[in-house]
Amino acid sequence: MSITLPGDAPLTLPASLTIKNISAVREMILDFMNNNSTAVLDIDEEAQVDLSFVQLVVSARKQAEAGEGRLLLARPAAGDLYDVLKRGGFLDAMTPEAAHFWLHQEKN
Amino acid sequence: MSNPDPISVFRTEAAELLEQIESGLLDLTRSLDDRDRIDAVFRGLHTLKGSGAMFGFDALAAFTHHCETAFDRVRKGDVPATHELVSAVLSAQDHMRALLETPNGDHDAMSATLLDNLHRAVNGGAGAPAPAVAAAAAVSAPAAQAAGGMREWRIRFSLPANAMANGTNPLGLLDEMRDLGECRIVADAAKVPVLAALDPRDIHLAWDVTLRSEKPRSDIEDVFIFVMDDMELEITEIAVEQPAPAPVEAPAAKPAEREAPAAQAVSDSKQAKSAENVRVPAERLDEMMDRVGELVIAQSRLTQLAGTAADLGLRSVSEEIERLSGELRDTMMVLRMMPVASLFSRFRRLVHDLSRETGKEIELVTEGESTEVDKTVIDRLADPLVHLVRNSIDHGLEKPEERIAAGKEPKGKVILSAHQTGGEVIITIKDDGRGINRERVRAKAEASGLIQPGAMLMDQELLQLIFQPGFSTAQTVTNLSGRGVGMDVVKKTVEALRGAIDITSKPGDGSEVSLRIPLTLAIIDGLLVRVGQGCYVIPLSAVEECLELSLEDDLRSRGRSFISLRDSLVPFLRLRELFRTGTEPDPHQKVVVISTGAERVGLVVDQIIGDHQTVIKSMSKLHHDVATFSGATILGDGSVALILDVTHLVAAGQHQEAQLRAAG
Repeated sequence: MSITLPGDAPLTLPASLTIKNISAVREMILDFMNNNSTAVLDIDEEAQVDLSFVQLVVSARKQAEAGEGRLLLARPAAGDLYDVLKRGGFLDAMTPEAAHFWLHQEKN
Repeated sequence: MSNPDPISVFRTEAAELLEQIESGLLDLTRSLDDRDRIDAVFRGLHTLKGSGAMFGFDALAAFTHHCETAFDRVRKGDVPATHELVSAVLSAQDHMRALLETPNGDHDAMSATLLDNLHRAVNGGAGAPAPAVAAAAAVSAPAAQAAGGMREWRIRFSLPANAMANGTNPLGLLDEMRDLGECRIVADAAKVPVLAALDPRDIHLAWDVTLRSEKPRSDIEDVFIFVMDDMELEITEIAVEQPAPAPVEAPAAKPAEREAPAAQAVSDSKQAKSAENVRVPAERLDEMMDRVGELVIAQSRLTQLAGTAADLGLRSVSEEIERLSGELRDTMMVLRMMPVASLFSRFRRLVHDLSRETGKEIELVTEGESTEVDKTVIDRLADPLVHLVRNSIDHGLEKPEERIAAGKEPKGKVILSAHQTGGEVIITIKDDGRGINRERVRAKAEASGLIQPGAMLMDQELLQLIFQPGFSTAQTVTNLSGRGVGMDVVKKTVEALRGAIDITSKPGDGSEVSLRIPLTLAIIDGLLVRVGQGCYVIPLSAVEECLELSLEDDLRSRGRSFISLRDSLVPFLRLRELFRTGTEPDPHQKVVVISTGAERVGLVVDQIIGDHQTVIKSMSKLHHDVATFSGATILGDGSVALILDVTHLVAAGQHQEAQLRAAG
């Protein structure tokens, strides 16, 4: 399943999204959000992800909400990203908004 | 602001971790059943493994895993801690350093050998089981410790901010919780800041876990054993009959405390310690020290200008800046100071290894470890001290049977101590061994042409011969010492630090080597004096007193060069003659009495100008070998003053005294 993307191209993130390069990824996303009112993140299903990246996206969502911008994922969480969400306790008691953001589930 | 390279930070922290592990292992050799130390070593190995894997040091992580498994088995009581196991892990720990420094090197053969040793040590020499078997055995142990009966727990925790950066994987902790039983885990993102304010290497998430398990509380606490000290952890047991707490609806909501009254709530919460230390690269400190040095020179110039001007306002500002630059200098000095404990700690391992190699029983005693010295001094003293301690053990200490025959305890003692006196730190290496064999020293010196056969030497001169290049009295060359290289290098290194080295030895009772090292190498308080037309600086820490040398005393002392100072004769040197200034002596010459330890000598100068904050500059390569001077400094008027080498001058004065006494 995919969502309808706004006109601008998504930000394609690198294949490694772990603490090793998390500072660089933060700069990349922050810069992209500053230049796009709706920022779409393209995370490859094969991307290597750890908890620092999930925390980074949670933080970016907060920033988008505070600035009346939008942050979206180009595709539902899969691969490593889904695994980290599950192991990290993000899927239990997930709010409808969070489920829509991470998994592209329709809000009732 | 640029972020530091994570790999570089990991290497630094891993090196510190390895030091802690080594220290823990060495402590363990004294009390093998010390539970706290076993846990500390285990935690260190676990953290190293975890962070190594996280930063891509896979070989290090895989190798460390085996040591961690071994210590896990010790921790759980499956196998005892033995000296063999500690030694095997110490050897393995050296290999971990190599894996850290050259992760892509060819380490397989060494890894296999060390792991074989490790498994032999774990299994009491009864053959090495496959690592997987050892790991499985380690994991199976706690299952038997179940307390019985299903219980329900509520666990809320947040990790120290730097946990991820330090190699802790929160997902691993959550997985361990799941292994304990039926688990519901909810992440709490309330404290995660917006992206612009986020340090992405820090962790701001917290977790709320509901666990149904038969396992006791200690098993839950064990999950957090490596981060327990700095985290916030609350474990609450909920009665089985009670319903599970309501799910956390939104990440922002802080879990309520309403079920607490019915529960036997015991909080293990620990306040996270605030980050009180900042890691600063040493070169930045050096750079800052240089700037402070330039400031001190500029301030000296300002003071001189203000002194000749009639402007009271300028004088006032000049005095204020002098005070402030003095305080800045003192603060800067303190920043560069490190306790010698960091230097001494490495000798515990050295002594441990040498004890095993030589078959000698050795006790290392360290004293005054909190004494602080400039970082550069600590760095440069490491190798000389290693050599001196090796020498004490190899040449000084006897084998147990020899000691018993001499009426001594079978265990030899090496005392490493440090203390501060004035502007110097004295580091002493003392042993209770056989002492230096003077006959052998003399024979060797004569044979190698260092002295003439039958030459009259004072005891101190004879002992100092061991610091001559190529000198060694060892009858057999060992890998510890006795290759004739080292003691001369030790002396040169100490002298390059503007220090001095003394040695005393009593046959049968042992030897003592003392290194006198200045506290700092950058800026010192000096006494500015004039000799002829030139200005010179005498380090103030060496100055005992100043006297006037009247014309009569000067004339009377010709040919003797001694002054009487409170009923004792002190030799003196006329710097005007030593430096061949070609000028007439000032009618009111002064004698500056300087000392190094017990030795004193007077320096005759034309004028004492006053105290002077002296920024030490190295001598040029051309003048590097001029022994009378240890450096130079720039004065307020831009001219250069040479800094006198006190140790050399005192030695010259004492030599002159000895010659005069010999001449009768």
